[in-house]
Amino acid sequence: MGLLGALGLWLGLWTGVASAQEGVTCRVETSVVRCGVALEGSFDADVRKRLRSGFLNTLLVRVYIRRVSDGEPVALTARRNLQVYELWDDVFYVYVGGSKENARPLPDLDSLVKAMAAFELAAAEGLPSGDYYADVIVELNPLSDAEEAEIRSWIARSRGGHRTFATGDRSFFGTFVSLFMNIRPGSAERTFRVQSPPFQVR
Amino acid sequence: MQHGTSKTRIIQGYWLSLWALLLGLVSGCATGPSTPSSLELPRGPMPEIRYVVEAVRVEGNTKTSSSLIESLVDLPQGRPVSVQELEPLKRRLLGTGYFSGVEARLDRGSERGRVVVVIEVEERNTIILSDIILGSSREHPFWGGLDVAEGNLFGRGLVLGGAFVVGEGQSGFRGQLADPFAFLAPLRLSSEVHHVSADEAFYTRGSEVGGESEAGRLRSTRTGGEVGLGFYPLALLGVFVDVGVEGIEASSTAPTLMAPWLRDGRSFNRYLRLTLDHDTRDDPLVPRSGYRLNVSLQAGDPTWGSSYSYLKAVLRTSYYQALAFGAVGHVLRFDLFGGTIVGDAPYHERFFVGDVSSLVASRDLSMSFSARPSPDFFDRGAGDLGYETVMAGAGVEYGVPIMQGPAPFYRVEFFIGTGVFGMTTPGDLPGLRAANLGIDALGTSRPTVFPVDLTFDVGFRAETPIGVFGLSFGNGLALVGF
Repeated sequence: MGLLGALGLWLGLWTGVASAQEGVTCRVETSVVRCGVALEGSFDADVRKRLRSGFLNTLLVRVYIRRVSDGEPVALTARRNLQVYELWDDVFYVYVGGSKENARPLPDLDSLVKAMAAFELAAAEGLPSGDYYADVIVELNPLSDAEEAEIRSWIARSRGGHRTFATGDRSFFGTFVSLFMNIRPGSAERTFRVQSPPFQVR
Repeated sequence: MQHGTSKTRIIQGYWLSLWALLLGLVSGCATGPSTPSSLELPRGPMPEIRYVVEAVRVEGNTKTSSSLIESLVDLPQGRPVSVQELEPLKRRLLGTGYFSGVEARLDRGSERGRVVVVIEVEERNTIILSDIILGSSREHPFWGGLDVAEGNLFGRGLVLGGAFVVGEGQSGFRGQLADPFAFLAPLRLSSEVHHVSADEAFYTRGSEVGGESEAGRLRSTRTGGEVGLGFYPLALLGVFVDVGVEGIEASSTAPTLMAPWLRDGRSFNRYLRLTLDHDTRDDPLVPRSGYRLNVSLQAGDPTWGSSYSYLKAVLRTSYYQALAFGAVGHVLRFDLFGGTIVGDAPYHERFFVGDVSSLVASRDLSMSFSARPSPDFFDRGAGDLGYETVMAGAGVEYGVPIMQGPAPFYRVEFFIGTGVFGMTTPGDLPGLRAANLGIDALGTSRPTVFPVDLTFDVGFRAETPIGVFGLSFGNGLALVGF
């Protein structure tokens, strides 16, 4: 991994990205890279509480295949899982991304976590020979660009930033950034990150 | 598109280049956890679960009133609602800026199918230090002040702000009260009052004593205020209308020279301002893509009682471009701005050279505290610039976020930037005028129609829980008393 890649990873970890206890392992079968992901341990009490909230939850899983030599990504697989708890029937509905079937009901939280956090997927195909590793990022209820834009428009309203230029007591250089002050939306409610041991494509 | 189909992309050959471009230009951070916007949310496979709202219960709020939160949630008792319709609830509360965290859950109601919506909020500090004013100059050995705002007054969602600045012979304050969500609609109502006691120096040509020009004085007190209304016809487009009035009492040691700047004695500045603000930037503090466009038109006219008849137009745009290298978001920012004033606007409505140059102390509460001129790197007469009626400029800044983490420093950015600007006043060219206000100039007598100069700045910006702080070469110049 290159120096900048390592720095990026370090920054990511420092900003609260939790390292999962479980792992991801990848193998190559007839030019297809298959990765098995197990993140059940990362679904702690806080996450489980959110899964029981009765609100719709989105779990976005992204699997990057990166070169060991410089950390650059060469493939990306992503899928969204949707989940909701029906509190009067006491049943969980989950739709696992990649399935052609509609959401299925599950009777308890453990079954739900297993369905969402343990899976195998085809992460890449036809890679050139070399050493690679999988970098898995899991986000619970991530904000889309449109959602973040919506939040920012609200914040802009509350701060009245339109007057930055009209008052004549601000320089035209260098003060354009202070409009929103410290109020920033987060990118996701929870984020997990786990990396696989290196594997080789021949 | 089939719902939920896993998306696998294999990148080889030229696709690798495309991928690098995508990562670099769109996310700007190869290892960052940004969300691919191309992934559609598959809603179809989920069942539509509907409930009837029995009540809304708010927890965790010590300052923000429950009624305000319930109003923002807008879920009246007895309303049927689906879980899909509840999805924006948390985002809407987070968007107010009052909370650092919002959790929501449904509890069973008194009978089957009824639910209690429980909202847990974690309130954030809403007192924001917008500016720390500090400087020293030959004319003012010290001037300083603060600009502070409370963004959630009495837990009612009102914004109360105050700013003051004090120097030798000059002082001022500004107060602001606004309701950003008036009538629980996307409507902003604002008001502002200000009082400024200014005593600015002007320098007359040919009166140099001991190598320095002699300063006359232009004294004024300005008391007034504004009321404003703003709304967002589109998510990122704000439209604002402000009406302002201020009473001005002015006097001068040389009344015959003050005509271009203020009326002698009592006068009124009454104006109407329309502002459009379009902001598509992807990040509030250190944007990596997008742009911001701000256009304002301000007019004063005797028909509504103004002593000054003028039209002021200002345009500014900034465009952000992530560079396709670097794992931590190297970004270029391009600035383009311009403005013109037609008519006889009071001098504090004019463009000041410190507004456009980082190397000249900017105004605080519309008062200049330093007479140091622009360096005139191009030898085009920019050292004569003071308060002008036409300005234009462009700049570029290179920024690198160098760290991010928990409080007290959410993010620190290093930046280096440069720009070129030009200013003038048609009919009263800077190098030919008899007296100059605010800037100790008139050294070149150069009849340049449009003096231009270079500006630059380098430093750091830090985002903290109480505001954004900058430490730069330009800030340092304002602290040097010469």
